[in-house]
Amino acid sequence: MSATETPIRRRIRNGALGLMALALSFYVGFIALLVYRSRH
Amino acid sequence: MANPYDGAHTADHSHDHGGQPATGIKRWLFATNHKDIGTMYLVFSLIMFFIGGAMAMVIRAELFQPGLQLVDPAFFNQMTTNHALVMIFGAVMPAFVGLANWMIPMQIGAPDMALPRMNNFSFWILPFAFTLLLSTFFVPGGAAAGGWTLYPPLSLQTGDSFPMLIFAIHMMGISSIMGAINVIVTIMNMRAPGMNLLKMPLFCWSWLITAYLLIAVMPVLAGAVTMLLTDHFFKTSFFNAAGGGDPVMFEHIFWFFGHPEVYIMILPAFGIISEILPTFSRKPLFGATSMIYAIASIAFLSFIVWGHHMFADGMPVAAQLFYMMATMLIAVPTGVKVFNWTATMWRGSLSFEPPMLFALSFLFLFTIGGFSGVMLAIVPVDFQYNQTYFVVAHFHYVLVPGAVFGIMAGVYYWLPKWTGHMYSMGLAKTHFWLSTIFVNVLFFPQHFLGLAGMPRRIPDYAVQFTDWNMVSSIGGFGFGLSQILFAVVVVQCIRGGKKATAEVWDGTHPTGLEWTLPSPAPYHSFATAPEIK
Repeated sequence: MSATETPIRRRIRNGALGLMALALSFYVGFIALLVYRSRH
Repeated sequence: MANPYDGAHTADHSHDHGGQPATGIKRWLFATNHKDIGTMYLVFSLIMFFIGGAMAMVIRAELFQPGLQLVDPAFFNQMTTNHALVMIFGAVMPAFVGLANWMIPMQIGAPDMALPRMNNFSFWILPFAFTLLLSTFFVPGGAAAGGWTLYPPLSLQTGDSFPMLIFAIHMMGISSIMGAINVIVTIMNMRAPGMNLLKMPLFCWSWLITAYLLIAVMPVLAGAVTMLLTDHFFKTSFFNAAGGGDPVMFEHIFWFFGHPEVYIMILPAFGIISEILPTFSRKPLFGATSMIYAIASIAFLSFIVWGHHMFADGMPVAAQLFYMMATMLIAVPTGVKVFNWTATMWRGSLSFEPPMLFALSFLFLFTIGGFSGVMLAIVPVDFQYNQTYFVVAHFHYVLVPGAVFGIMAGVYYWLPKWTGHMYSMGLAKTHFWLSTIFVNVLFFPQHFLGLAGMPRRIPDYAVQFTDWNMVSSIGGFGFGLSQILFAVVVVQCIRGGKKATAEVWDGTHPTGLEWTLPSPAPYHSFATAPEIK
């Protein structure tokens, strides 16, 4: 975090990163679920 | 609530030429301003609406009479498939994102969207995605023709265009997810001081909930089509029965995305109608808090009803009952909304400007689509109606006089705020009446055709279906042609016209921060924080 970063900019960045991680986990999660299902 | 004027955004506009728009093509290519990006989304959506509409005209022209007249069956199937993909991902969804871009910062008192550069990326992905999608018509084997649902094994028989289709869908998904992230972080962080969530306009609320739906389900679609791709090219067998896979599993995953997708296309329209009806009834929205809970309930229920698209696949009776009951439950919060809208108008001082006319038409015709949806939710009834034109009638009532009329109502409501000019009320009302009449001529007979047993997605049909198909096609041509009027009204309004006041709809005293800005709204909304009472 840079020294000039304001709290609201940090919240926006963290919010966006968190939501992006959530979306990625849904994407990878569903594929992983089907891979798991095909092996059991 | 943090103060969004406190350095959140100033750095992002360091390249914005002292607060004035750049000139020429650079203004649009490198746009970070929410209004410019909103405009690009809306223009893109209108172009896609006409391209998807042209495909619909081909479909209705071929179905005007029994027999094969104009196109061969393979091309007909490409038309139905791509009409759906273009209208859903190219017309309706980008139109709502365009409206969100224009209106959310103005309604919450923010200077812009929270992530302007990501906003630029999420728009500019779309023209590439749709160029790729539409170019599939010119590759060997033609475009996808197995329906927009891409069910395997049929979709795996698509020709050389298959990877292009999958890549295009991935790009559309990435664009939607980035747009949704932007909406959520903007609403959660950029509201003017004093604007708590319950003071937020219904359009913003509907978009906040829609954005969460998008983030939850677009990656699921992306996962499903990625697995289709690996089945096609890398010898996996996710959905290939011969390799131990399960094609029905694709349907589960697809509809886990697909049903919330339906609500992604209608919830923002609910928000728009909830803005318009109070303005032209000159009354506050009846039960505003219950409206928010109703939208949230509909969004939650949308995740647990996907099985109603698959009743005829065969499933345990317990599952059939669960999906049937859960689907019918959606009628409760939807009913709350319809009754609240009606109560908003009750004893109001109504006036019937074009946005109000479209909102009223939405109210009546969307409800017809809702009723046929409840019919389709009944398992034994669905066995009869499945794969017939009744289903086509149902979802077109939800999507055309529902979602599309919601978008048109929103454009007619806010257009003077965007351009600074009033548009021709006469032309807009003509557009409304032609649209409303022809949309019913187009889709209502399809209920009869479906009940009589006409299957969907076919280029030819038995002669007893001829009369209502002719009526439906005449409605289709009329509806398509009358949309040219919409483009004329919008272009005329951009070019000039009577000056619009800040309030625009004089005498209605519309609530909402957007009406405190002058018309046209300045390039940067709210350079200083508005006061929220």
